Amino acid sequence: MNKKLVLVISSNQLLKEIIHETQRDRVSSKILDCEPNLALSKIQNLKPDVILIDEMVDTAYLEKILAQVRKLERTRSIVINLQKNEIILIDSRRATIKRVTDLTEAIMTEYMQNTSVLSKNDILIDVETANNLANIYGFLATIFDTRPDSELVRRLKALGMSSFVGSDATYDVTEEIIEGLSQMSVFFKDTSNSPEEEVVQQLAIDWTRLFRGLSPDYGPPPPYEAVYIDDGRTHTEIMEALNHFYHDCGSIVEEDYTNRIDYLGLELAFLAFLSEREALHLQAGDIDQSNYYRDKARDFIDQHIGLWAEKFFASAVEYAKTDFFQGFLVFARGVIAQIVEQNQEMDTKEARIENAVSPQQ
Amino acid sequence: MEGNMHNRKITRREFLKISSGIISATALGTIAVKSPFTKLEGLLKSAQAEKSYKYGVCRMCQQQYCSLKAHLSDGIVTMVEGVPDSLLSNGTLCARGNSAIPQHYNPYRIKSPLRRTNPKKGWDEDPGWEEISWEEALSIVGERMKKVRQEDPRKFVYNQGFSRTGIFIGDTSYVKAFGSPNAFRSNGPLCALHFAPSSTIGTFLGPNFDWTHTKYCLNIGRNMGPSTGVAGGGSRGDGGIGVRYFMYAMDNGMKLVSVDPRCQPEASRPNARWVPILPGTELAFVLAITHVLLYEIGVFDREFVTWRTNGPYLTKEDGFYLTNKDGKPLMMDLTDSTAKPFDDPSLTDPALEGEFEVEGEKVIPAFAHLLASVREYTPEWAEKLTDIPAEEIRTITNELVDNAQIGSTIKIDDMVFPYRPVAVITGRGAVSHKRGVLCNLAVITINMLLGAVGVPGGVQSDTWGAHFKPNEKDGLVTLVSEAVPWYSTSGEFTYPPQKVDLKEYYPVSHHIPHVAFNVIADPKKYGLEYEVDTFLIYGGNSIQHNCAPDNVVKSLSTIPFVVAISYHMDEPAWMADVILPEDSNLERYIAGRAYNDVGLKDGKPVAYTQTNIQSPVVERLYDTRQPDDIFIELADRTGFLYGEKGLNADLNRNFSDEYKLDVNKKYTTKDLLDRQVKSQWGAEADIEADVPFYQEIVPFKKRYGYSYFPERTTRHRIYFEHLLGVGRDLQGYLKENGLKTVPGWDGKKFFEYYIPLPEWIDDPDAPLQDSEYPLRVINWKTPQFIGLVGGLDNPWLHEVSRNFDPYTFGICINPSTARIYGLKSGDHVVVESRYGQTEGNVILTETMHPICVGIAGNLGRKSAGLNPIALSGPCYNHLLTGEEGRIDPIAGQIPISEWVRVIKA
Repeated sequence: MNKKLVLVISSNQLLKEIIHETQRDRVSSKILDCEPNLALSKIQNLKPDVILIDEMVDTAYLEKILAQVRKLERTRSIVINLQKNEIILIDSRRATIKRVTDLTEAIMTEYMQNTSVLSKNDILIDVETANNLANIYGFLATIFDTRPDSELVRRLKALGMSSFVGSDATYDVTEEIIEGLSQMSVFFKDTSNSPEEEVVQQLAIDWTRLFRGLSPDYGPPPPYEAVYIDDGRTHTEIMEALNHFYHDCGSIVEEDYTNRIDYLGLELAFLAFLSEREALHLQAGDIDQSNYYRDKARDFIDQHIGLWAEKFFASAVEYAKTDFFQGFLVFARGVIAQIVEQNQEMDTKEARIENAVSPQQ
Repeated sequence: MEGNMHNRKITRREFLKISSGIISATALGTIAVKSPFTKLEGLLKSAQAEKSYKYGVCRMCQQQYCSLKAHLSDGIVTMVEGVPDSLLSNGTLCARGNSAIPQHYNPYRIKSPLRRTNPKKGWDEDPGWEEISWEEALSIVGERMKKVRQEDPRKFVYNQGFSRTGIFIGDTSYVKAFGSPNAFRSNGPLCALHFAPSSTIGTFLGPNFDWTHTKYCLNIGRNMGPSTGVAGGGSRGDGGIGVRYFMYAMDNGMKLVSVDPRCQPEASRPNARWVPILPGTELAFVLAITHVLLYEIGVFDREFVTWRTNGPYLTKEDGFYLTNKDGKPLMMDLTDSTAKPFDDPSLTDPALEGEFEVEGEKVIPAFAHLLASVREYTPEWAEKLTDIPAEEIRTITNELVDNAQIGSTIKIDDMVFPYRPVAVITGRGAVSHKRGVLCNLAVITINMLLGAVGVPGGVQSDTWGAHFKPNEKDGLVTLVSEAVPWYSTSGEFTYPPQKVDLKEYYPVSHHIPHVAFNVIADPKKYGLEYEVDTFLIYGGNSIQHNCAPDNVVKSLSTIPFVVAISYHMDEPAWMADVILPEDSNLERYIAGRAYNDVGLKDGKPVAYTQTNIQSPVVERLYDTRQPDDIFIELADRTGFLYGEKGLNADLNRNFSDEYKLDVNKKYTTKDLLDRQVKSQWGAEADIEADVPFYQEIVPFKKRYGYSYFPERTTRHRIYFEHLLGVGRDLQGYLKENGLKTVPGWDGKKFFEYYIPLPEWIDDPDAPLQDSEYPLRVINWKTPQFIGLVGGLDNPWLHEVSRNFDPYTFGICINPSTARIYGLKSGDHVVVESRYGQTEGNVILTETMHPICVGIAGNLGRKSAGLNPIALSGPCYNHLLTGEEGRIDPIAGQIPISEWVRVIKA
């Protein structure tokens, strides 16, 4: 195995020392570190295999570093947050590792992922797609489930949504996705000089109005499936059906989840869960199990989210007062529409194959 | 690299990759939501949903007396039903009880604390709600309360209502520990009905008929049957006996006469009859009944009046008792013509009539006053006021006497009781008028004249038990648990007034929120030397449940800081600065009060006591809390939870010695309720037990007040000297402080109502006609909507009401009246009083007195925050007023019926 280059970006000397200390005996890695203001040039020059980024670096640097990392196909990033004398690590599957030894394992896992990916290119594509889907579902779920605060605003500002604004590229996706991304970025551009509390409050008011169902007239009907499905079933019957679906996929909603189980945020988190499982099983070589989760995600879209989310987005966008949430709703609507469209394409293809095979049977 | 993003077509996969790199959970780092899914691969795959059930307490009306059994599928409540062994509801739940499911899953509940960001308040103002964390919300409210408490605790007001039921910490306890005198309830404007029964026969509600023994029930203006007790409502129910028990009585031969402007469903049964009356004239009817009884028939239960009332108490010319040096009232013993104190064992033949002279003072027995007071109230006089034929009044009185069986007895268990199977009952339709308290006292007087109080067949306390005890000072009943103060105000009057609801001026009132909101809007006018700063609302809706709701809104808008603990965005929540969301009924710990009642077991009446319990039936759906936990948290943050004068110390009166709280420790709702049930039912009892209730059957004789204090052990008031005393004292206090009368009552009749015997008072502020407004509007409770949380915005209840109650959601008018005004069924009309207006579609019905316009329930909600279905229907309360002069001077209550006109829209 080639020696992997790990770059630690932080102003926190303690953190850097811990990383050096824990990785010192590992023959497979070489650890370098740098201050945030030097990170861009270091990344450009070294093209490290893994970048460990201290989450506490300045927002302006963080945004640029993440943007730079995204351009490096082979580079993996791990964000570290030092809280309460613990190292909290976020990997691409959002697992939380609290001990330094786990950090080591996480770094090695990234190597292993890269190694296996390189040897199975076709699987890589599907794993990557599933993980990317999980990431996007996870993002949508996070916005639905997270009451805006300064931390969210700081994070959103660092996302680099502006990279889509003014781009000459054409994208093979629905226009809504691009429009939504652009509009979200406009919000942060327009509020770049506003006090953070003001920005947070604007978003929090909008979020409350859009997603929290204070009353039918105060905002859109809240994003609960049973509110939008009018097929004669009661709310509890629809929630029972959802519970069956969740169980059937080997999952159960955490007891401390404080919302109805037909909330759009939860349904999106469930899709993220299914896509993650799809990727994990594929990566482990279990094609059948991977396909099972992929098919379940398609079924879930067909039977649930695809039946009603569009109605919510159409209604909600009328109530959104900030560019961010207008853009988010348009973006989310575009993502779901895109997925539904892809499912329909797949259904059509499968139907064609079935029709072609049928006469011979 | 960036050049790759331009001038080329990017595939979906590439796009996904790019956008995932930017718009991804990973990029959000630590704030990305933790997956709310636990992976159970291999364990629950294709598993069947887990089926289970759990017992609970129905809290869909204010009584919380019905037990329920909730069926759960995988943690989702799929059905609720009654519990067969629960003796109140006998295995049933009413529509309201069943609607606990949508109440819980309501998508429009408040789901997390909210902060108002727009300081302007009003129906048309967008509050700009911002959801905030519990910590932030409690911190905001706690700091505000702390500041107010340090500066002037009177500026803190706590406003509750009927939806408070099921909580442990009462409002009076809370403000007492806080240091404020201000707690008032939204369920007050129509509570005139408590004073008379509380001060005469020891029952807070009612009195009610005895559904196991009454054979003739005369109902005067009271909602019966389903108004509260559809599944439950045994002997209780503030609207009447429950349907099951009413039907038991009817099936066992009880005859019902309902004197009411509206023909209630119960009055249309074969053994019932409806006697239409003009609203607000009930006192005249009752006085005429008394006249016929005493002057035309000349029969009354002399034994009862002599030995169980203050009828023989000698009174002076000023109307007060003649007392001995010990302050004990005297009676004239005709045996030896000697005035003796009421507890003199030698008393043999107390005089009820005649004039005497004792130590130079001219005195007459109280009963003689009563006799004289009704001399002029003939049926012919009453006919002109009530629209009830004089002969009908005579017939009813004769039926009362015939059915009373005066002198008869009955044995129950091992005890022989007087048997008086006749009951005269009344309710808010007759009592919530300016003359209403007097009417209520007059109704109770009839029962006493018939000897039908606390004995089988007669009127009863709302629950069985020793509700009153003898009073050694005057020999008259004293309430064990006083709900309405009826004693003299001695030592309690303060000026300037300290209480925002002016209890100083209305000393025997129950709760008078309409007065409080008048004062909050203009404190100086009423002599209040401070302005309200912080207003806490829980379990009540003083806007919707009050007269002139728009005035309440204006008043609330003047308060700098309003906190609402709320289930949904009702009117007070819409006006709040911070909203703290409460659990649904199924998410709570509940321990009902131990209540004594009479129910049916195996088809036979039994007396029992029962405490219903509930630990959460389901997991919390949203980020809500149980109200008691909120109260405790706020008390802690404000600094009045601990210590010997803290909230804990006050709560300790609810517990037996072994379960008292450590006053310096913080408890949870669960802790408190567990101690409550253990205090009531012993160490084995447990709030988390898998049982619906703790229950004990008791001897049936305990159902009757007579069994606790039989012959000659105590006396009821038939002469209301105490009311005279309250008026005298109040007048004295006002004079001492330089006030001519109660603020707002200049030129209005006030003290004329503080009299020892009911009489008809001509009063221009309680007019019997209005040339500009020729019709009279009336109102009644509806079984589905009684103004509690999750009622009017509950779609299940709307469906039931629209399908089964043809008289809700419209304007009910008698067809003959409609012809006069050119109206037909379905016409949209405006109903207008001198105080406001509302509108709706005409429903033609013969069940209305021709002069009446009927509007059911408390509909037509106002809050832009509520489910729009709650906004439908006319809103009765807009037609009413709570202004001085119009309200009842004794109970402080609003008149329930106004003169109106109907205009085709």
